[in-house]
Amino acid sequence: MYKYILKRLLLMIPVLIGISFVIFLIMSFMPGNPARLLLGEKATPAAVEKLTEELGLNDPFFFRYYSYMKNVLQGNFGISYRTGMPVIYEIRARFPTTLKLAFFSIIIAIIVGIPIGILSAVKQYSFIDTLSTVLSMGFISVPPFWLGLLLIILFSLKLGWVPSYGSDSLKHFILPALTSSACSFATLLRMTRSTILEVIRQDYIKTAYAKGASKPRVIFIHTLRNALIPLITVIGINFGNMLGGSIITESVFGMSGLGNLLVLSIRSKDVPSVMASTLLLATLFGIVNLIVDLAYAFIDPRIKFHYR
Amino acid sequence: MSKKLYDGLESKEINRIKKKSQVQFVLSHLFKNRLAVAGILFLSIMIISSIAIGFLVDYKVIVKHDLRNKLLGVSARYWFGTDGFGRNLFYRIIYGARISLMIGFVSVAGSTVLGGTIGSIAGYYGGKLDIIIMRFIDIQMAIPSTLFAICIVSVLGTGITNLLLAIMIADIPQFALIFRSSVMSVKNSEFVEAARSNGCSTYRIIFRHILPNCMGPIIVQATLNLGGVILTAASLSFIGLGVMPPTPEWGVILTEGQEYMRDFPTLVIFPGLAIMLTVLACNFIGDGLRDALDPKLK
Amino acid sequence: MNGNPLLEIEDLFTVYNTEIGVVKAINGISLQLREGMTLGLVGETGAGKTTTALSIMRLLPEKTGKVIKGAIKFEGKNLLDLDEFEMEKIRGKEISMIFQDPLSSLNPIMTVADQIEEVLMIHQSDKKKKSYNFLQNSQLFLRSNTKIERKTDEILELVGISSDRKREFPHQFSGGMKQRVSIAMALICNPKLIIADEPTTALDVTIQAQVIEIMEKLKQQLNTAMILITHDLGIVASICDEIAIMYAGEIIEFGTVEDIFDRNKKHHPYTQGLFDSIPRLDDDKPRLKPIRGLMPDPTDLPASCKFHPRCDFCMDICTKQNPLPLKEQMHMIRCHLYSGSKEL
Repeated sequence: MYKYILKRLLLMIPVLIGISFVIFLIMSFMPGNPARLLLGEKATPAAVEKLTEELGLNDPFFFRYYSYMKNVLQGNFGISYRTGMPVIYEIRARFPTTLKLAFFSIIIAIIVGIPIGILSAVKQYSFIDTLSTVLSMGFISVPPFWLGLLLIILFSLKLGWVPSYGSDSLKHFILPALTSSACSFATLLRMTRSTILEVIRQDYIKTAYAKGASKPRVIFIHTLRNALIPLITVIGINFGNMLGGSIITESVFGMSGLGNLLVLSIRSKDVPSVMASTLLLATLFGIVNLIVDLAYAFIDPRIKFHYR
Repeated sequence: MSKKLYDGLESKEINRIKKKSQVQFVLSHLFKNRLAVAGILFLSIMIISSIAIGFLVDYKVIVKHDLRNKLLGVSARYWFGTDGFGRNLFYRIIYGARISLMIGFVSVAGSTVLGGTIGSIAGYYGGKLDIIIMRFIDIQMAIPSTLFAICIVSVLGTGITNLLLAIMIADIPQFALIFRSSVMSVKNSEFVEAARSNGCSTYRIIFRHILPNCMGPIIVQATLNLGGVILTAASLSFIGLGVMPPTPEWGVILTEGQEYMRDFPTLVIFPGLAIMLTVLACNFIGDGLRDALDPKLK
Repeated sequence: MNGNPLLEIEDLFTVYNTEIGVVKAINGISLQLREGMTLGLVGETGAGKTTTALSIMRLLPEKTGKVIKGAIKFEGKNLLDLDEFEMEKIRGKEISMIFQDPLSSLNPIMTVADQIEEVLMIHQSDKKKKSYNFLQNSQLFLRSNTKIERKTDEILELVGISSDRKREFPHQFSGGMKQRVSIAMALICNPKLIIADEPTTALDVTIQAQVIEIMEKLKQQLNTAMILITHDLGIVASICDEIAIMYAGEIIEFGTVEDIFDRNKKHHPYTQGLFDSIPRLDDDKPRLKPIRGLMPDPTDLPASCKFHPRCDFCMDICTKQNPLPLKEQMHMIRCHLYSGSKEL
């Protein structure tokens, strides 16, 4: 078991290095001279040249990557071109918002999606099943930013129940969490339904019935636990999508999270901030995948046995 | 029964009959699925009307700034009303379909071909090449695809072509993975073994034997991705990192309408509805195809 | 012939309503099984053997499978009249089933002991079930105790598995071991009837012999009646008392092992064909004689004799009328060949 955890942890290191490298590579093609951005349009060419040299922008690519990563590992993400302050300040302030949003959304998606998915599978082809299938298809297809706007129109502008902008109180998280959970809830529902239907077809379910087990026992003890294994992967993937989606949700609701920082930084060509927020979002995604792999090992005895 | 039917037929004829009947089987299954049929109908109407409108009317004439008629409600003349500049919302949305569908089709085609090439090579040859390609794919898969597309857009800059490229590149690994696993599963099957022992060339084995046999999951994935791409494109345009105004892309129309959404919610509702229905249509078709191709149901 | 009738099937008809049409899986079979006896159900794939078993267990696919006519009497009670709740008490306790593929018939994420103990715990909670409390009825919260554990150890030793291994998972066992676990699971409540659906088909030949040996030993020890479904005539000969040969949802020949395996007796042409498809060393026939053709389409069965399109002795009457069963003591044949005489 510990061997397995250790192996997964070690495997994550090259992936994280790879991610940072790919992002750094893409960002190095970013047009515009950072020195000029920092100093403003009126700066003299000599001053720009001096700062370029100071920032190490004239160094070869791999050297720049190396020194950047060295700084990152010491918690130094550079200085924002936009604010002139260390990037880490802004990241530290914004990170909890993004994490909270993703966390609330995935909780909503799990609480709503899995039970309806079970119901849908157990009552296959019934009215409930058809309704939930059509609804989940709708939620998968709905553009999240549009859903966000509709929720704002209805619940903040017309009804005035919740604020539409910002991320100061828990109340501010209600609409964004609903928005970004919509797609995950729908995919989770569909996956729950299809995996349960898949598991129900298995021979060991027939065996369970032949033992005299009641239907609730067969569904909850035999089917659900086996169905949970693929579902955990889906939850992990959805969490990742939510991090990507947070970019959009946060800008619809004007929340001060990492996603919004990313959009803001791209617009102002603030490379250190873009690098930092992308790197963090991707790392978070990697950590979630790691947790998924570990959860697997706890549920599926086949993996546990393999690494004993 | 079937054995008797094929007795005395040349092998070519058998192939012809089988091929036809398989396509027919899938199609007949697909057309039995009401949701898929609805999806096909809606998407066809969208495609036809967005092409036809280019021949029937001139965009510049029909969608012009007309501040006297701004923010009108739904009427016989303006089916969806007019926006803040007095432009006809209905025509803008139909024109928007051209851009969204074009981005969707071209980007999916691109990522299928590129991802397909990479994935097939990795799957067919295996070994070190496969390991190297897979490491790259792993890394790219470790970055959420919206995030990846945004990174690329931030470097390339905004605009239709750049947006299209960004989304296409971000989707390559998905297709590469599907192609790779399909090719790997078909590669070791007996009929490929038979083709190889009959002296077929590698090229012929890949194109005549392996690829046709893994078309199913790829077509399904491509259809489902079409919806996803349209959604991503609209999302990026909405946050100002895709197509820029005044180009009538759906996400752009939505952003422009956002300003007035308190008093004129239709400006937000109609373009969003257009996106949602198009994506829904793609998903219905993709789901229908998956069910029709699912060998378990046969 | 000893024993009281344990299971009586009377004129059973089972269908599957599928997309392609109504599949007539069982078309009027009647059977009797006495206590402690072993009945072999023989036939090719699709003859309705498994459907018969699932009809008895009332485990036909919920949406599609349906018994449309007939009765299945177990100790005099018609199982088809019981409600689901009463049926649950019978499954696993009175009648248990062993499935074909041991690789897939064990739950992969439960330990072997948990799966065996589950049977005991389910039926232990039967007594409490009289109070219609949902949580108790749902059997979600079951507790094991030392008595149950001891019983599990015993049964595992009985089928030849060391009880040290009971906390292991199915994937840690070989195919033959898994089938032993299935047998242990089927036997633990001392059922009166075991239905074994091709218990050896998925196993290697050497393992097959071991599993059959265990089943035979236990059957004698516990005096349990058994229905053994198979297409392997060798297995049938070694452990069955009576044999029913099925074709297209009908029993076309029935008899004791002696009746069926006696080559000098009259047989249904299909039975004859089955024996001719097996290689025999003591025969000087140069080649095997397979039965030509395939099983008829179960959605579109002939109203007359179902075997006539493949029969070498097909007569005019065979295409028009379904033959009636002809009996001589235990031995029964459904064929027009012998319908001239009243008895065989």
